[in-house]
Amino acid sequence: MKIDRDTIRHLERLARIELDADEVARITEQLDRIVAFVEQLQSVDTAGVPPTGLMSHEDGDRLREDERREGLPRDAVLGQAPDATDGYFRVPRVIERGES
Amino acid sequence: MSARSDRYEPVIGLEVHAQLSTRSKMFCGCSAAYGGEPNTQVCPVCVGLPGALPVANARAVEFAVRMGVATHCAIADESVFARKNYFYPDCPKNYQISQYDTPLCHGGHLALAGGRRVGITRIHLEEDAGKLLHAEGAHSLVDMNRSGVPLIEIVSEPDIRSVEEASEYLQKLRSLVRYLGICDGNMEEGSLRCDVNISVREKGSADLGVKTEVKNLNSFKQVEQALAYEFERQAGIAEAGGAVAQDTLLWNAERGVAEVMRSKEEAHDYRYFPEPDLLVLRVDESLRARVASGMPELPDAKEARFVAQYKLPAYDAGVLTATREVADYFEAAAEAAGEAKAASNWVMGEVLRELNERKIEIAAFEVAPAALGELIRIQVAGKINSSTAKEVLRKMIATGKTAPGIVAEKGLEQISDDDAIERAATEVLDAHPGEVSKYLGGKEKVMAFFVGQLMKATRGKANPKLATDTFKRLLEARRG
Amino acid sequence: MSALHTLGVSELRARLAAGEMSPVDAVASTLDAIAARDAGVGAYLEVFADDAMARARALADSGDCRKLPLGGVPIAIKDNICVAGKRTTCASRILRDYVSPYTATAAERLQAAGAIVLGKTNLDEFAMGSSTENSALGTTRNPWDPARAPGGSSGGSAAAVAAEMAAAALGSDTGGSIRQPASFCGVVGMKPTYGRVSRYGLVAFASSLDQIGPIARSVADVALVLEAMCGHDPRDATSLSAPVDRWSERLEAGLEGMTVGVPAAFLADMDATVRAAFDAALARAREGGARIREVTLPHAAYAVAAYYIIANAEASANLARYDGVKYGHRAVVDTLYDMYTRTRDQGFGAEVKRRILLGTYVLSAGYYDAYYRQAQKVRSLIIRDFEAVFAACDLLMMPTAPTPPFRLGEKIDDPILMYLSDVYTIPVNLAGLPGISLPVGLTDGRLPVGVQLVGRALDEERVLRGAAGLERACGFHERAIG
Repeated sequence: MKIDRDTIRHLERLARIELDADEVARITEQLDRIVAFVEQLQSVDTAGVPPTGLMSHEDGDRLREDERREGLPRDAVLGQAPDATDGYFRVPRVIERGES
Repeated sequence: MSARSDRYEPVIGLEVHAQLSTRSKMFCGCSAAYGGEPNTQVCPVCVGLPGALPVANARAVEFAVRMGVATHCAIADESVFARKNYFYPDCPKNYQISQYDTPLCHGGHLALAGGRRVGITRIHLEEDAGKLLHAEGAHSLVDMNRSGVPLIEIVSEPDIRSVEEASEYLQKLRSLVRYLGICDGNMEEGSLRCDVNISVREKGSADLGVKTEVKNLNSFKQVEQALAYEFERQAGIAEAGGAVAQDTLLWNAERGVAEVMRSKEEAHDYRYFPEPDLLVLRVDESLRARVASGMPELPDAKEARFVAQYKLPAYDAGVLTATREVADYFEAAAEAAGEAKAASNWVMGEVLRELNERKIEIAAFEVAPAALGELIRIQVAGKINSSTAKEVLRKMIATGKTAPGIVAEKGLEQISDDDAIERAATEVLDAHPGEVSKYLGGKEKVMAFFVGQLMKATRGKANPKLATDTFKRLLEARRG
Repeated sequence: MSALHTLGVSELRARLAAGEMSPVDAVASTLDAIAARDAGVGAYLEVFADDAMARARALADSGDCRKLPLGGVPIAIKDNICVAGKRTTCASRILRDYVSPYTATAAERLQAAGAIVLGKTNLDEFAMGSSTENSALGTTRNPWDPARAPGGSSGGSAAAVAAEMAAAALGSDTGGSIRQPASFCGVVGMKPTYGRVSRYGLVAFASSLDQIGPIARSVADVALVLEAMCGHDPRDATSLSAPVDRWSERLEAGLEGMTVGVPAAFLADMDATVRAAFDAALARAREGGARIREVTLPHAAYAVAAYYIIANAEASANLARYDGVKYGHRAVVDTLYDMYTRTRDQGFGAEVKRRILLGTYVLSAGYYDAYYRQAQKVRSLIIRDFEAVFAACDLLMMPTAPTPPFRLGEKIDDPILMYLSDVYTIPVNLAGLPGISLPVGLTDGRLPVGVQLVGRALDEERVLRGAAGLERACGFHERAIG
């Protein structure tokens, strides 16, 4: 069994999803079967084959000029925020600093 | 320094983030300007609305290539953007678009004074996060204005061996990005940020110890303090036979200590993968040519040229080339004055003092280099003495008038007429017979009193050297 | 009730351009059809009756209706495509009340071409599914048999078109989500070459696979809608600059002179009823002038596994933004960490959670090379397989789905079984090629069976032309729902 409860707990943390107690067992088992299913790729000989990371049928620059374009008015952005105040989004307090 | 620094040496690497001074953000057309009202420089892309897509800013790419060329890096013909996945409220998509396997630039270096080189492992492009403010109470506030502003991340090899070197490296990096016109290099405003990696080892060892990372450094001073603190701490542990833990630490500027970050989860697993919304980033010949032809004379080269061309001492050349703007000002003033050394003294002295006191940039300085040059010419020609010249400069700043104009208007021309000086000096000696006796009795310091009196009588316009010579002659004559 | 809602895009345009009817009539008739039928189908999540009528009136008044290429045509839009001022729910609780402040480029272009948006259609949550049963906001039934699924994830769009509740609809296709529901609902659906249609405003599922495409009741209609949407968009860096032609005017020649490849080995597992319909269609294709030859796709059997790794890896990152910070549902809790984890548990359905966790797993430290990187390499092999096929053929022909439309509830408890219903469509997304599904026959139980035509990258013209030829030869049109 590749996917067990510990794996699921780790994935829940990484993906910020807390599964309900009644769901966990079922999803663990389903994921284990799905992973077993995709295991079949191991039997494909891919020696010397480059990975396809990006999909494009055309070459050519896809950059944009450094020009300012009108964005959204603040109301449109904060208007649907679950919690906002004074022009800011508001969230439960962050305990420590994260990435720079 | 402590005995520890005899036995141990720090092994230091710096990770510097420089905010690029483009008009718009890295992946959208929102303004990248600093200081706007919160959440007023936002759009679907930089707020992470459903369905939004990034498109890369060509100028940001060019700026990054400029930095790579200026630090002798190899510039990748093709590189790829990657998603760095982590959850944080200032990260609207909960991934940051950055570069991972294939940075835009790699394998460069920065030269320090005395020929030491610090290797630059890589320089890559990425987007900035929004700003998180910790309000009072149970909440934090998020401003997405900064989200998506272009950054380059410059990673050095762990080649730095002292706090002083680290400081010098950082200063040079800052000077370079400002010279290149790609970043305003302001640590206090956050356009230049520095995290440090440091480990210690016994001097002479080639091993690498366990390193710690220190973040949250908001000024050059804090970088130095944090490095000094960590060196002492780690060396102390080594001395006691302990082991340094590989921690990430936050610098607490108030208390002057580095504190371990408390995290719920283990070290981040960023799960990098190639960004499918952006295609391969290509640097073609025309971009390389544009960068090469637009490359300004870089600080080190300019400094060397100032020494050779203007015969300035290395120290002066260093001060004058600290910023491109001051260097350009100096050269224009030197040309107008016809006198490099005098121009150097004036710029390093009076001009920089003005700028520092008033906290302005040289672009805001009222006296144009040509006008300063004029002033210098008059002084060197002997028409005014040096203290008068300083007066004139102050008047030039205040009124915007030219040096010759002010001298003429106020009649400030130095009195160098032999007869006039002789008459005035004779009057001074006649008025102070006691002091004359003292001087003739051997008290040579009285000369300063006589010159001072002459200056008073001539309202400061006497040529001091001529005055002194004249007094000496007259006094000798009175001896007999 | 007037029968205007039964007209396809081409017919409507012919009459509107000739001034024989007003856009108001077309829209009113279609809205009536919705009112009469959608209770039994459940295609729409939201109908914009007032807006649509207002737009129709404005269009009529402006006099532009005649000359705009889609002037007056009533369309439905899958609810993962943004329309400004309207809810874009993605059939998820996490976005149930989210209103988009901007319109997707594809929808904008259709509106600029005169099309009138009637409303938003149901889908599998975040486009993850093959039956529309994963919607958190309602059930959509197959208009041919209400006990059966309409397919997915664009089940609402396909059902709306099949039941004549829209002349055309937009769907999105990541692993077959336009083609398979089109097949299940007996209508035509096309996924264009990757990059032909801007993804700006399409709520992302898998960025390197997603495309918006049209669903309509004929190939000509699909061509008309597709032409109006394609073309480079500076807001989508993956969108292509290739010129867009009037493909709808190039359909006459049909299959004449085309070489059509059939990957027999790959198709070995199709249902007997599908095989009967497929073989019949092959015969019709021959009659229509096509030369049929056997080809191989040696790695296509691995496509579903490769897809589930790549698509879900991308999805795990694309869906990370749904966190309760900026918009959408937020769980009311004290700590930030709990806010994230409870919001996403409450807001996402089971299939979405499974896919996010799987995607997180295959990217995580220690597993990236074995799963994600390996899948990317298999993707390269599949791309090469297609290149070899198209060196010898103009088109590839396959069934769209391995089975006729299955019953609601039949596969929902077995994720892998559900994934396998996309076995013939997924390889096309991995290679980014254009693919169309058109109905070719009915099973004994009067359920529609669709056939897929796939072409070279950027060869929309041949794909549409060949499909028009096959459509003529098979004559399915005559058997629409009454």
